[in-house]
Amino acid sequence: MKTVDARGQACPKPLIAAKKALAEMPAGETLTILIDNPTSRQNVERFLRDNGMSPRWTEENGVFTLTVAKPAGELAKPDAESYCRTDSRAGHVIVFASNRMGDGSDELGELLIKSLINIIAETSPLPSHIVFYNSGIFLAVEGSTLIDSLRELEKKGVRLLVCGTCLQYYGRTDSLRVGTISNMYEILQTMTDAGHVVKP
Amino acid sequence: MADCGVVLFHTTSAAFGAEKALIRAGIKCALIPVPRELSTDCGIAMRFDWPDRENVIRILQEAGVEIAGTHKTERRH
Repeated sequence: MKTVDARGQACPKPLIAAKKALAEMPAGETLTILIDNPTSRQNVERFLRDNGMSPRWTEENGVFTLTVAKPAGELAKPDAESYCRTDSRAGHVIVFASNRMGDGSDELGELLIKSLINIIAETSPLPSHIVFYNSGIFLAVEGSTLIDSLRELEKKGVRLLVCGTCLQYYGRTDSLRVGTISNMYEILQTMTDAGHVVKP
Repeated sequence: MADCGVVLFHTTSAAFGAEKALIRAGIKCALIPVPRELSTDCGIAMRFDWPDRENVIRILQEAGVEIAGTHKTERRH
């Protein structure tokens, strides 16, 4: 059994140490990794899973202990460093599936979504992406009072994806004023890759 | 960082009326949650550029929109 003590280390160090230890071990042997930050634990776990392993982990007093058996053969996804998410902006995705927020009064829903979108720029961390589909596209087209706020977010590096099918359905393809036209593949992949999805 | 102000309201319908009136007058404005250091009944405020203050107050008065005051705030970003 081999142990890697990555306590006190932030990504990408635990990932690199795990990869190195796996390379030096025979197949079938158990690797134990000690990590004390949740982000690294998540990243290392994803790296191990993508390489066909099923890590188990326990937590005690803020220290995570991952155990995994080394599989036979080469690693399918050997690029450990790419699993590192140190950029806080890579964390979450906001999805606007409607141009209203909440159910009940449409008028209130309109007010709420405006007040939310107008303050996203001053909250931290920023989302990596904002996705718009179905009536959510109306937030990004001509006539929306939110174009300026959304443009500000784009300037700050937030990627705005607006569903092309929805734009076409509502006859607004030429009225898009912010963001890029996207499709279900990109939208689904974006939501899948997100640390978490925020649906106001 | 440009100074901003907020108009506060007693009701959400006043907030809506304010948005209509200011957009019609071409004044840059944004509906936002009331900044944490202030408090109102309805929780919604209208952010505007502080230099526009006199215009904002006049336009809202002319439109019959009741307000609960204006405050200067610093843009947080």
